[in-house]
Amino acid sequence: MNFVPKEKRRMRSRLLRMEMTPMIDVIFLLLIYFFLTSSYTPPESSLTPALQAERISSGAGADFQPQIVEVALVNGRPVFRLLDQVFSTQEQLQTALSALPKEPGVFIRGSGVSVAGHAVSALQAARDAGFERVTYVPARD
Amino acid sequence: MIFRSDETRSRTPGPDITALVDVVFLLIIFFLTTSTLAERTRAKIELPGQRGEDAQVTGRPALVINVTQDGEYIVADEQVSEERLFVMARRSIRQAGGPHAVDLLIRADENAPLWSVNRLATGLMELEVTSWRLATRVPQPGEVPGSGVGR
Repeated sequence: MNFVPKEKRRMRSRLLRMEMTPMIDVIFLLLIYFFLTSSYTPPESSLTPALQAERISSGAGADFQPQIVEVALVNGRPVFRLLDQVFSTQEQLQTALSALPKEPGVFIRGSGVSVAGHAVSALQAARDAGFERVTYVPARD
Repeated sequence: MIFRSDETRSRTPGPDITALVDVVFLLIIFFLTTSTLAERTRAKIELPGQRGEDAQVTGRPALVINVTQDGEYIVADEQVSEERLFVMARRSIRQAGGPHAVDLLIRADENAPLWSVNRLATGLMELEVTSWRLATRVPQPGEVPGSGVGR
């Protein structure tokens, strides 16, 4: 048995109903705003070579031959030069670097006539070959 | 004339929008967390497609220097001269507590002339900076690393 009068019951049910329409309007507006303003950015990573000035070639009295990868252009084509060997791809350079001792580290010397992508390829090849100490040397040209 | 009583009308079940509101809220939270409003330091340049290093540095770098395909320097969406750039670098070094503590991120376009990166490196060395970070773009599955260079 329900003792509450019919009119009162109706009023209570009207009071308890939450009005959702404005909230949904605002939420949809926010959603549209984010859809329109957001932009997709590809994931980024980084390489952290040390920096050093060009002094390594004058190490005639040193006990070891410094391991230098030169990033250069030969006949307009980008190449990597390592100990009298010339490589045209990153994979070839990585294979050659894998065979070298890792303790002395490796120097990457970037020629100004080349582009940044090639220098980064050489740095990546050195890292992938297992070198912990990778130093970038800006060439004076 | 109303044939249906008020009571019947109030009892008629409306569409259950709870699930919809849940999904919409989730979408809003997703966009809020992934939106790039805070990434204004990133200029639109094509980074070299390389995997980078396994150990990633977390936290925001003290200074992000973008090098465009034309060899120009852009910092915080603004093209800057070499002199101004090194003034900014000096300030960042001072704020970081020294040239060995500063975290500098260089975002060089894969086809940026290397002389512009070399000039930057030489200038940073003169400021006694010994390490920097070169940004790379994680390659898409199946993409050959460095394949975008020279394109």
